[in-house]
Amino acid sequence: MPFDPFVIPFSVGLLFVLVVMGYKYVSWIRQMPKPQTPLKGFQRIKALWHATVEVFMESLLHRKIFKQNVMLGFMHSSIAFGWFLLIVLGHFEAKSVSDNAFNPPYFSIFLYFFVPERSMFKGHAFFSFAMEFILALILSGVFLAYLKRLTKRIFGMKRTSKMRGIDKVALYSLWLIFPLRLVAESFNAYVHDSGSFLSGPVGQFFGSFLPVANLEYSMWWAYSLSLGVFFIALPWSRYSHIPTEMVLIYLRRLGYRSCSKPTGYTMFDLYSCSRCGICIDSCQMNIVYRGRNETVTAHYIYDVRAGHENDFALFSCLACGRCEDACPVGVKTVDLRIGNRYENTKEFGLNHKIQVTNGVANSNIGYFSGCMGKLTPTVIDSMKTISNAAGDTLFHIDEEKGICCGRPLLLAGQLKQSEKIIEKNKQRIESLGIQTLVTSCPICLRTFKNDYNLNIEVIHHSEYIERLIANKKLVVNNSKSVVAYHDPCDLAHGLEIKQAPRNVINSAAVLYENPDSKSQGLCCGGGLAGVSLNSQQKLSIAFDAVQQITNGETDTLVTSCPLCKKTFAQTRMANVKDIAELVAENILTDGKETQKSQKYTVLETING
Amino acid sequence: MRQYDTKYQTVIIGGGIAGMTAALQLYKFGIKSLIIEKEDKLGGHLIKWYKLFPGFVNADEVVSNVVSELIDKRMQVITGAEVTSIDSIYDNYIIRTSSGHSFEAESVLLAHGFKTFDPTKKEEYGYGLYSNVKTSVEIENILKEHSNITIPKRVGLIHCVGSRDEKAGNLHCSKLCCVSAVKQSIELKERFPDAEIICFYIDLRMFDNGFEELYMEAQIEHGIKFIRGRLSECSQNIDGSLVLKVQDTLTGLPMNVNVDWLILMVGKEAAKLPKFDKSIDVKLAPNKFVAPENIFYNPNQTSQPGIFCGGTVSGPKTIHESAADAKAAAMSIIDYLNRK
Amino acid sequence: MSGFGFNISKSSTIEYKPEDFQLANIIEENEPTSRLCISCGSCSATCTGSEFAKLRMHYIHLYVKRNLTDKIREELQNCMFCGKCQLVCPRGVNNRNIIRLLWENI
Repeated sequence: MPFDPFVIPFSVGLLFVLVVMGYKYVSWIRQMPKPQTPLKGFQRIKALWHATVEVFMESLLHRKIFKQNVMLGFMHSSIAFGWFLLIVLGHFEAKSVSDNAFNPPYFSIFLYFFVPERSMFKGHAFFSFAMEFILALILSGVFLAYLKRLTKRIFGMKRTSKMRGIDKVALYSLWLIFPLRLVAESFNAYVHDSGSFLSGPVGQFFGSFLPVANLEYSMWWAYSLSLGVFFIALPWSRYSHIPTEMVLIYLRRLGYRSCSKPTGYTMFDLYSCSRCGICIDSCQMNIVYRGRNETVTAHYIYDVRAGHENDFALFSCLACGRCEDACPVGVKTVDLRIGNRYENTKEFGLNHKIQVTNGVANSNIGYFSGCMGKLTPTVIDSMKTISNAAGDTLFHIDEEKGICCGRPLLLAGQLKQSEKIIEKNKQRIESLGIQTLVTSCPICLRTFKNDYNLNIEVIHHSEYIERLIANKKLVVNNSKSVVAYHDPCDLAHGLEIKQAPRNVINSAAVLYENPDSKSQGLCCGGGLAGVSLNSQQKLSIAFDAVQQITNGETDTLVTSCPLCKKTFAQTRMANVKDIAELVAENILTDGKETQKSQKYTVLETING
Repeated sequence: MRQYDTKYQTVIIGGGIAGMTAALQLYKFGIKSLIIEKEDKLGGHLIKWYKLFPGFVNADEVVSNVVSELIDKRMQVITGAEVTSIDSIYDNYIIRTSSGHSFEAESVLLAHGFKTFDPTKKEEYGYGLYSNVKTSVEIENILKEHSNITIPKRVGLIHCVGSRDEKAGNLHCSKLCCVSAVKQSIELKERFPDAEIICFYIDLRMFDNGFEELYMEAQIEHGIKFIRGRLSECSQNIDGSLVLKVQDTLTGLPMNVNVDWLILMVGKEAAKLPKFDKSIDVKLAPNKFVAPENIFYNPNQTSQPGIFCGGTVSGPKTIHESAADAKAAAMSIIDYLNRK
Repeated sequence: MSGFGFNISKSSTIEYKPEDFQLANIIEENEPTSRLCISCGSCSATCTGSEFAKLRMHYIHLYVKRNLTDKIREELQNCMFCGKCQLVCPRGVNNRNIIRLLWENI
């Protein structure tokens, strides 16, 4: 069996990483609950197939990163896919030159050392060429990686993550692996007069001024060492994402999901983050921080793993989900953050003295305006106007007294405490006997859908209005005025409800959308998850958002969330309306516009 | 078609109490000035007020006294015209108006006053939604016109609407709303002797001569109630009366109050400046009012030489303070013109 | 005549020694906007929790600042953390963060 002491670093490293990662994975899997959507029989096989395809497309080819920026995508995929091809092809090459049925793993890696004369074997020319072509591909990627550390702009990134400690060790050893392979194989090619289009000339070049024959052995040692060091550093560096991400993809396809409460699955999510830094540019907290954005996922995960997370960073995240959308791995960053809050905060000792009064609604449709709804009475008024015009009766559930839906507590990580409120609210809602629950607040909507387990239909008021228009129960006149629309985070990122509000707006006005993708899906800054943000910081985010969304094309901003409305109104940069208000202003009944609820005319003659 | 000169020593933007007083003061020193007023009548905000604190003098009287003096002295005034742009030319300024006129001036006095906060921005107070929610400005009109209206049994006045409120975009105190509220409470009580009038305040800023005494008069002679607390939400009953959800901070208890009328004491904000050309730099204070060059030594000179400020453009003022400030502005202008 | 005097019951006086008020110092250090509160009462007026039980955010500020810490929990346990208090505060006091810090430290 072929062996040489220099393979020891590589072998030890490989064994080490397999054992350590394997142990971690097993312990995490044992802490995982059953999948939310378990699969059966044939579905499982299909899922495994899809997972394999996804691993190929994302972990190797990095398709999502290509979509983001071609240079960045090429850099990642040339190294990842190239290395994969080297291993696979190398394995076949080794098979072609060896008589043994089984060879140790280091054999194919260091094949040119163990079998320097290969010309007599079948397919030798092809293998030599192919392997070196792949190596050249990888080296171009490595070169781009060097370049990225110097100039980020050509990769389309304004900010990247900084490297510290063990990450540096892993990075430098990774950068050395392939150049060292080239050097080792080139020296080998020079000495044995073999090698293809790459190692041949390189070997000649070095041979012209170096004692290559004496140095060749040390180069194999160096190559093995760099591999060994990389493997040993891997479990504690960002590169743990390499194997972890692949396992994550399989788990996801098999129906496992993350949730706010940390489970074993959370660990897979956490370690699949490669700290690539693509999320950094999408985070609006960049506006608040002058220097390093400590809140954004890439930096926050690093700080957590390095053991120096800070309170402000943990609690300032707005949970808007932009980082989640940008992540090429699909890490569920919002759940991670809430889970972190859950683990790191003392539980509130809440003890609400709320007596739930059961009641019966006077209609099939219940309307919940939520806490914030009380501060935006125009929305409630507009909903009444709309439902009256459509001939519907809306039972306003929290007209007199109402309790919070419970999501603000949940976002702060107080999962058990929020259950106290949810239980009471659920009792009230279920006692009413309604079949549909309409709410004008996306925050409440999301938690009604995800955490309440109600047996009734729960919809957003924009969906309700869309339905009325589609059923011709409501006729809306298009005023032809130009408005911009802001997607509330919980509605768009959380529940993917983007089209219904737009359809409604298009019936009443002309919608302007900023074509720049970076200006889409912005958070208003007022999110309840941003507990440690003060009002000036929130306002700075709001200012920036209004500027980008209206882009100078209109001074009317339409949104479908009362909290967003209040936050934007504070900027005094635009006329802020809720969707319901926009519709209520433009309702047609019998071909005439309805009398708007009597507005008091301002007697002041001078207006500034 | 009234003919105007094309060149003036001073052009005064705004024909309110400040603009008019400044013009008269300048006249006494032989300075030729022109007042440009965007409304059809002179007097600014004053013509909307009913009676002025602290002595309940008729606003109309004050206005007509000043206006008649202007007419007497045949001062040049152009009404119904807004200033569209101000450009600098060598040492002077060219002022263009919406009426198509163009004037050259050696100095400009900004006296265009303030604007009041639009309370639809604080929509939880119900302005624009419920007909019985009015602003303090509208109340002046109601008191003045003696209009035939239903008699309220209880009236609530909310202080600090749009002032001292980060969420409304104005951190500053508008100074006059507290004493206006006390004044209006007394007037409402005199108009509706059986009504209960309540002021919901945070502080009571009775800063000038006679103000604190007015407050005491309101309490002892008119029985006006003062509750230290804030309004959170206002909702409407079927009959149009309003239910206020208020926090009574001194007892620490939430309170529900039924009122027939709700009056919002709206704050004062900076009015929009005329459009200056790029070379003109009139600096603003953080609260968006015009910033004087130096509040102690040069309170009427803006950061742009030749452009002055008088009256409430540099911050909320009472009527008599505006008039005094306008006279000081006039003296600054005279000094400037003499040195030129 | 020594020993003559009155025994003042502790709870009816505040001994004003702010350097000893630990909780107040923690809150002020971690959330400086707490200094801006003027007890206007806007927070308490709009509070969701106050509809069901005694909860006055502006009083909680006073309890912290005057070191009446044993009164805090009784009211704070009615809070639903909805955030309306912060949304209406005219001075920009970050009430929700203060509530969170209080739960960490009482």
